Amino acid sequence: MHHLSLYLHFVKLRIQSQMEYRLSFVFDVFAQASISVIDFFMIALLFNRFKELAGWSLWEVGFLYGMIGICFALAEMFGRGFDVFQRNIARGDFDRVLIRPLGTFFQVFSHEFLLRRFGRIAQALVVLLIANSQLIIPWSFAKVGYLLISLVSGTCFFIGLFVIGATSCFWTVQSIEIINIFTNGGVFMGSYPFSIYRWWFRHFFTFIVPLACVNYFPSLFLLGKVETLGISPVGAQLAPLAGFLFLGVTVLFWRWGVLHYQSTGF
Amino acid sequence: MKSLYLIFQVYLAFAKKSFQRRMQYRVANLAGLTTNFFFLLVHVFVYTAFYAARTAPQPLDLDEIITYFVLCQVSFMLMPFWGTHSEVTSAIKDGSVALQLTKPVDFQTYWFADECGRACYYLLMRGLPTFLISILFFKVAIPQQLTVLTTFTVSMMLAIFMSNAITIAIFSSGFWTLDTTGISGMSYSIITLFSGMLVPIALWPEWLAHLARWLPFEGLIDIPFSIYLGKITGVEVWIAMGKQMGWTLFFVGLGRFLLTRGFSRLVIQGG
Amino acid sequence: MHNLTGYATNRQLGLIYMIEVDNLSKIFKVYHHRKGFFGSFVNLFSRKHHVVQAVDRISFTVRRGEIVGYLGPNGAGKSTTIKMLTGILVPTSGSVTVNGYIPHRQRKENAKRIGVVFGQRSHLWFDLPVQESFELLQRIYRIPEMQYRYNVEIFDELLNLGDFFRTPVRQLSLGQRMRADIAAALLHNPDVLFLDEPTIGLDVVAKARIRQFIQKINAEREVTVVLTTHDLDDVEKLCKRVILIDNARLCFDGELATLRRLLSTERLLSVDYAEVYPDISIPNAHVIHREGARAQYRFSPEEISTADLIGAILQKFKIVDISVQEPDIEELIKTVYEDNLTLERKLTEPISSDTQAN
Repeated sequence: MHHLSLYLHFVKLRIQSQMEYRLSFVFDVFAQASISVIDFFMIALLFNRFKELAGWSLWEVGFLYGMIGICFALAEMFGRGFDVFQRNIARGDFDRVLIRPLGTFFQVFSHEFLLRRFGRIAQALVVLLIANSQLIIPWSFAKVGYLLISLVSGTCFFIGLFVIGATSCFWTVQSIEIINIFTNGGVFMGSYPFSIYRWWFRHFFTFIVPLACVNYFPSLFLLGKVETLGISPVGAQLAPLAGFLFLGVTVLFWRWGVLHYQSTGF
Repeated sequence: MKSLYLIFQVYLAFAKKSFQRRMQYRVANLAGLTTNFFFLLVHVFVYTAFYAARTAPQPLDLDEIITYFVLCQVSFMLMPFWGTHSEVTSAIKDGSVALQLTKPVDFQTYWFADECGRACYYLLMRGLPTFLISILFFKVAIPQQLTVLTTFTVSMMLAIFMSNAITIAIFSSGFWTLDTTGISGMSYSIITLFSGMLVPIALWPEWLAHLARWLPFEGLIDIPFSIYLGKITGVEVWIAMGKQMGWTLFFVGLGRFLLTRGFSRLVIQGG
Repeated sequence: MHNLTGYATNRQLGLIYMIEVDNLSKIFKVYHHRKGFFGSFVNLFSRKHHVVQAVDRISFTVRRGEIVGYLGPNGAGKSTTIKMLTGILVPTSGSVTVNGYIPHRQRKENAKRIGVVFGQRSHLWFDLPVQESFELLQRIYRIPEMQYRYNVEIFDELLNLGDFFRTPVRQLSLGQRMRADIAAALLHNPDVLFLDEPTIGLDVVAKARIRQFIQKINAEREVTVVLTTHDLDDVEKLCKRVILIDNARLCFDGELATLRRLLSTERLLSVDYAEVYPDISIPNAHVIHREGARAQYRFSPEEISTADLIGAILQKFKIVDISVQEPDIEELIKTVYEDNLTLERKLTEPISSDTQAN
């Protein structure tokens, strides 16, 4: 409870300080949204010419796109502390974290809250809603719940990636760019159905970096595509668990990294 | 003539310094290379899947599309607009630009020199390796005629100049609005869209392609790559490059105007 | 008042030593980067390193309520020691306890009971006003409202925090920031306060104010203070006891006065004579300056004690005024760093020859 109220307090302060420059904030929200708008616009252009992609229609792909977009923007919003950790550790800020009577993961997690990602969330949400209106999805309470859990799971997945990037900073800051493959690259490839990728690529992004589990399989299930592809429905339903599991593993990695920092002093 | 040579030497020194500074981050470069290749791979998967379902002939066939995106990954890092920004850009952002002004050189040219060093670095460390790896994995078209290669090289250099000029113009707005993230974000969307970076303009619907032809940004990506692929030939090549040149001069002028105004503002405000 | 500050209840009675450091060592691996494109690739998988001993078998104890100056030149291992005491770093070998806790193993428990100030970097939130930073700390350390208000009031009185209480930390001057930082480190009534270069870069007035505050807090609250500094004024004003380290090794632990005596190879004696004497030489003392009736002697206490020298002068001449100049501690410590052997030799010799001095 103490942690929760503390977290909410941190978020409140972060929002206040970001609202200080109101005009720049508004601009930024729009800029964020406009960048992701053209992403989807381009997908629409391609569908205008090619009509379908591996049996998926534009709005089915829009559903994928909306889901992954929301997850990533939420992850950037909440997991910002890990995203910018490279900069902070270089300044020696991690020492400050270690002298406070709170867990290190919690402190870094609560250090930042990026409200500006709201623009991107809104844009992705709009795409998701339009997709929903264009598709006939037999919604039930269970399915809505499943969708929400999948979104949270996807958010956890991306935060997990940020955590891996941040943890690697305990060893070296030069290789951190590699994590972009999975974050930005993950959003890009997650916007398309996984069936278009080669088997080794698919398997890597299902079993090692479980991107498919938080986005593709849930969409298959919700769009009623599971049966047509011969994937077990139970498997598709359980897939979102992978996102939570992934975050759990990265937290362990983080702890190990902190121990390394404490015994090397970076 | 001799004094001109001396001035050139000065800017060459700036470019060299900019190149050397970047040579320190080789591991980061390796990571970046991997990222470039990854994005290329996903593009190839996506377009292969799109093309698989179509039998009707397209303005660009699949191999040409792949070549287009290989060139994209090779060259976008050379342009300050998409690649990492130079120190000058951040200097305007954080106000330390005033220090740069104490140097007895033309600021815009200095900036250009800095970016040229950057471009050389990325060509050598990112562009060429990406190209070589791509040749191993994909069917990358390589133009057989020397004229195509020459005109492509010139057009590509014009594209890099133009992206420099545009970047300077955008970031000069930093003198008026302290925070350029909004403006640069907006222009980023527009330029990325109309340059043809995400989807080649040839694949666009007619009305939008028409709009793109009237805007300067196709000169960054679409024009040089179309020359490379042999989609623009003969006298059209000269028209296209003339367009690139005209727009480059326009943005150089705009940047110059904004910088001069911006600096006088800086002087009045006392930094 | 004690109940209000929560001191009597916080204290772990029965502990004589607040800090116990035993045979503490810290070894860092310093990695070499291979050069060249191929080399940087190899760096990803294996790195060569050499070993640097930052702290070498150091032992000391600090009693509750003591102020200890922890001194040494740059890179001697001061900060590394402080980092091990605060739980930021794990020792390579040896043991540390602070307030009965092992800092790196019981990091959070230890953190609740210590306050840390690093002079080079603020520990407050950069873009928040001081007040909000304080309120955040109140929540983090779960400081009772009464105690919080009482502390803020007291600190404001002593440090004039009110002048900038609503200013964002990034806009504070160095002196203001340091005042805010020290107050922030004391809000939760820590038993130990670690100060790493607390007066660095400050002007004389700001330094004096911070020293006074530290003294007062130490005296009134019995806060144990460990202070690293370059400023020997800090040491003279605040610390009775100093620990000196050099090259990762402890080279002195004792009273400041003892250190001064140990180090004083030469002193100066200034005399104003009643009249101008033609020959003012005294055995074992060298005249280094002479102007009219005023003269200055240089002497070594090992050859002639101050008392003997003054006696010899009084025997021969009439004087108006006489004064012995203490050696400048800064100069002396510098000589120690330059010539570590001298001190080691002296430390092994009995301290009897110059007991009469001063």
